[in-house]
Amino acid sequence: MSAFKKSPWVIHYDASSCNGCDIEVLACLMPNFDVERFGIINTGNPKHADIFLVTGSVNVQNAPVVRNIYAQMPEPKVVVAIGICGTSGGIFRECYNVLGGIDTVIPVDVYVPGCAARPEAIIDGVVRALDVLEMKRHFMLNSAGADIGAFIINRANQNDIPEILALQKIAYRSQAEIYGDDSVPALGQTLDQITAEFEKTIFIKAVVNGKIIGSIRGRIEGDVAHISRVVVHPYFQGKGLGTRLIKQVEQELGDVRVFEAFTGHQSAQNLHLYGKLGYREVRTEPFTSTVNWVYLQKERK
Amino acid sequence: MIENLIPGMVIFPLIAGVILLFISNDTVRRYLVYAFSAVLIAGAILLAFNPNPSTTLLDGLSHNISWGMLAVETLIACFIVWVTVRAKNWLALGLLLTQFFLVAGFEIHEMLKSSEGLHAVVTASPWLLCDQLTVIMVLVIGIVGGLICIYAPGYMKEFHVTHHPELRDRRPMFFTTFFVFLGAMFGIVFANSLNWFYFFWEITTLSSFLLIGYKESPESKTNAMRALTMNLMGGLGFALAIVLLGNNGVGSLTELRAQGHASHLIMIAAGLLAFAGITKAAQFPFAGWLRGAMVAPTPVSALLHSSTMVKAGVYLVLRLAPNLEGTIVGMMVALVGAVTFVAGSLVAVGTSDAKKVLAYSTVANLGLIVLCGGIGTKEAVWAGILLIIFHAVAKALLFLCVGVVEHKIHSRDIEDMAGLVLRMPKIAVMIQIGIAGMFLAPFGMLVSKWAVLKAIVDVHPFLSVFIVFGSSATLFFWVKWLGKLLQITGSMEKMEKNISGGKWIALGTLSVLTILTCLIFPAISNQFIEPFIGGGFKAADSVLGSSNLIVMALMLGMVAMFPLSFFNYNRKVKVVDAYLGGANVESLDGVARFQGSAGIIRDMSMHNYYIGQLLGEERVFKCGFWVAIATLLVLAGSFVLPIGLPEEVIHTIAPHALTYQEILIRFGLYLVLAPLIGGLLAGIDRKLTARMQGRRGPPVRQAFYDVAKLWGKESIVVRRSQDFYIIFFFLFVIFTGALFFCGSNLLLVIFSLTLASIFFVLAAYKASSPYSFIGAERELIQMAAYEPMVLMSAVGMYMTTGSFNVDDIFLNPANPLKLILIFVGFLYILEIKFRKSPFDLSTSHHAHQELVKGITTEFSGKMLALVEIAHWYENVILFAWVGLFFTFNLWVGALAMVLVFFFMIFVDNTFARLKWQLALKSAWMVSLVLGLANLILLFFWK
Repeated sequence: MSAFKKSPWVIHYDASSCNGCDIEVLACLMPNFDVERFGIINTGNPKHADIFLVTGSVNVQNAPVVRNIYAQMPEPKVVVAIGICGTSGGIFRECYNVLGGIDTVIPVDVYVPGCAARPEAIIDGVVRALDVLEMKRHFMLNSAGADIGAFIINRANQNDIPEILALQKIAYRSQAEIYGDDSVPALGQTLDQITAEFEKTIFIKAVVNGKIIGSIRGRIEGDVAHISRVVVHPYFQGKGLGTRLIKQVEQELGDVRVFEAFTGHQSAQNLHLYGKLGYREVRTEPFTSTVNWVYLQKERK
Repeated sequence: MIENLIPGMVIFPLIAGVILLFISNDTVRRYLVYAFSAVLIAGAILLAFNPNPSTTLLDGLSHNISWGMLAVETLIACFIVWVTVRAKNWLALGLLLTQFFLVAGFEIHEMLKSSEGLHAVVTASPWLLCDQLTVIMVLVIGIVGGLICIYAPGYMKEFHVTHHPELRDRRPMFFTTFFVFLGAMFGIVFANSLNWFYFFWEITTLSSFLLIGYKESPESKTNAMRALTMNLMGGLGFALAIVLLGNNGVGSLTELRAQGHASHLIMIAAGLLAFAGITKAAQFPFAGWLRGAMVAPTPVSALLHSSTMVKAGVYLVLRLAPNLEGTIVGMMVALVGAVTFVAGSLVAVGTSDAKKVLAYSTVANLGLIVLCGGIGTKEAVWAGILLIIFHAVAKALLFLCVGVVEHKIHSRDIEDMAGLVLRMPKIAVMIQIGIAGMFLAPFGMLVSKWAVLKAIVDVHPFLSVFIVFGSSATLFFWVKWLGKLLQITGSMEKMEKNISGGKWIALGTLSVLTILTCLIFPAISNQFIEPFIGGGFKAADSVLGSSNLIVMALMLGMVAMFPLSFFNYNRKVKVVDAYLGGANVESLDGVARFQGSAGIIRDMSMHNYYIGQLLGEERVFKCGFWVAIATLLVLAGSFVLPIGLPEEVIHTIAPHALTYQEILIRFGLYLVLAPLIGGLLAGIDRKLTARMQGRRGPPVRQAFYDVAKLWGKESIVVRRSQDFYIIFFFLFVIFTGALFFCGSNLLLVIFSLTLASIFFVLAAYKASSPYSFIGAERELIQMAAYEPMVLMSAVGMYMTTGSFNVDDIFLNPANPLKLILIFVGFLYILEIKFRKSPFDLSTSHHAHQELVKGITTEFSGKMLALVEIAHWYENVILFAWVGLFFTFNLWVGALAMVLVFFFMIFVDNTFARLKWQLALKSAWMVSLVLGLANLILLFFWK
């Protein structure tokens, strides 16, 4: 067992819990359960923490806080949603101000149901989170050593869709942070929507060690091919994967007059990527008060 | 040309001053000032290479000169009478008239007796004096003064045109006074005749008065008058001494020196002269005038009130050293200096006005020099002269930088200097150099402070109490300022434009000089200071020790590596916002904001601690004032006391030398074993803590798991450069340990450890997050709290074993009971050093920290791992230090370490956290009472 699993430091945040689960979390630290036996420390500081324990459902007020704390934790990190409210919104799900479970704002790795969740269950959840943490760490180590030739890039099929959706939500987090706006459509997409999209669209995936770490999609309308959603997992960014995905989708889309892509006006990385591949800006359309879409086109040679 | 260099250097500035009085064109004046300053600098350097030029110009003129001086003195007296009457300052008027009639009467009386001039009557020794100390002073006045003059035209133009258009433009008078003052300063240091000395002394008093009142505001007028009054008090003392000595056939410094402490009369005269020096050097109780003098334009503060004029006071005291050595008068003078050092340093903690901080620090450092003069031993004088050099250069640099900053940001409040590293990068670097030069190992001032400590422990160990407390306060206010410069809270606009060439020349040269003096001080000591002190005195043997110089050079080399780390600035690292309890608000302009209560969005802001309730500026000032008055009263009454003092003699032992192989083996063992032991201790600590709380606790190896995990985590930073400071913290902790276990000097170990801690604190300041910031401030308070006791324990070990070297202390065991009180005090501050409850203020090992994780909040991944490992190394050093108290038997020493370890954990788990106020107060009380009591114990128990 590596040191990673022997020293999980947690940060605990009460989203909008009734305090039932919070008390149980704290009970874990007390002599009766003494989670420090396993090296677990409640650090209270996201920058030191490996595991994010969130209790309660997410509401409008605390969603930015949950997101901020998550963003400030160093990788690899895992999230454990505790209690039924944390996992799904619980009995508060229908409230006017409640967004739902924790997974409506950040990716959750382990769900610990219960009302309130029992200390044994919480400890069990943390122990399971350790496996995820270890897995993510290997994933991170792989990414550090990964070379661009090792990625397998090909067409995605129906079964890949949920994994691509999960990846999209992780990768678009950074976009939402740029604009300070969660209404970025990629974050709000549901499984039904993306499945419907799959019917009309070509999905490309990049795979390493059997996990999808990048994807892109394209769709032909007349003689224009629309390219959208370049998604690369944060660990694997900056390795030229985006370029390869775009080239691959251009190839798959085949014989069209012009390729068109769009991105937000402040997404410097994306604009740079497209610019490098010969795309030129053609028009800008306002989308929300904070985001303008920039459309880019490239003639097929 | 060379023949008349000495009179030339006095007369040339006077002529230059007169010329400048008639120049009203700004550009012409600027270039004239540059030219004149260049001549002064060249003259000073020329003199350094030709230290004994003849003075043919004066031959046969002495009588006329004396009459001429009398005439000028009369004119000055008339002028001062006019201003004092106008200001209805009867005290000053009385002081002036008394001294004027005393001196003038004496001079006329003597001169009428002979056609040869006054001097020939009273004494047969030469008029002028040009030994190595004079040369050093001339270099300081010429080079630093010249550079300040080069700086001044640009500053004064901006001062009038941009900042104070409402003020009357009196620049011709300003520059005239400036140059006349420089001439008078040269006069003071060249004068051997006391009458000449007094003449130039009075001119500097007048210059200071004119320049402080330059703004003509009510405040500056009052302050100028206060400065005048206090300086006239000193002048009266001087006049009395002249008459007293003149009637006994002593009329020059050399003759006075030859008298030693022959009689009560000489001692009274020496006391009066030292009193004059004390007023001039703005020692307590006269420190008030220097604080008030800060209303003057910055070049004035730099030239008169830090680098040169106040140095005339300490110069006089150092000249008196042979008279003062080993006497009650000397002791009292030293005590005034010591009180001033502590009070000045403590007062500086409580103010945020940069110029005031500089003024208080000047007062404090001058106190240290007066202390050296009062003790008067060779080592002390050596340290005092070094202090003059280092202080003049670094302090002038700091003043001039503050002047530039004040004009750009329209404030001289240190709080407003946040982020100066981005706003004015070059100036900020220069301020950092200046501050480092003022207190940081291995820079100049620290070398001197070390020498002072060494010098006084040898003769008056009780005075070391003042040094250790003063030093800890010094550390606090300088680091606070240093941190403020680094801290970045929002978008930072560059402001380093339109700074005139003259300013850059002055600032750049002074920065280089600050560093250069540190590098070449052994040469300066060799060439100038040691021959001056004479008697085969070798500083390398008797004060510092040559192996320590090598260590200092190593440290300097390591510090010099620090800027190189910025080449790694653009490395791949994730930059995130500071932790603000998750309430960060995204902002586009770079200003960190958070959503406060009621949804209001606020800017993040941070404010330094000034320890107002504990050390209010005024309160400490008053305390210093009264203590110094009491000391002066004893000084005044010292003619009824015996002249001499019983001397403490400490039998020093020859240092135990190590071969290079031994050093390498010890270093290697330490490097490998210390983290293993430290990590294991951390693990045992957690296990024991858990058991005391009725838990099972983590495995003993848990600390290693934690560090291994942290090593594999991603690195995230708030500011890219924060990691560099952590790396240097780590390196210097290791270095400290290496010094300790290779048997080096304990004081050096302390300085190195302090330097390491300062890097740690600066890292937290740099991270610019409120939690790490408060952690850093509290860490500083903790450092200030434990520093005195740590130094005191080193002093105690020196007194019992006769050496500061770890090896020698180890090899020459002393009875541990001799240091029992210091040991108890050491235990108290050890709890602070380990950051254990009740003193886990800056960061805590437990999850009950109101500051999140305090000082370490913003460090993650590898950097946090480095911090942990550094603490392991540090803890091993501290436990070894505990063992050093019990060297008579290894088993007892080991047992003591184990018991102390358990004791620490027990206290950690049984006491609630104190507030920082109580922590600081109690630590200082314990250090003062136990430290002093132990020194008294040692006094009786030889």
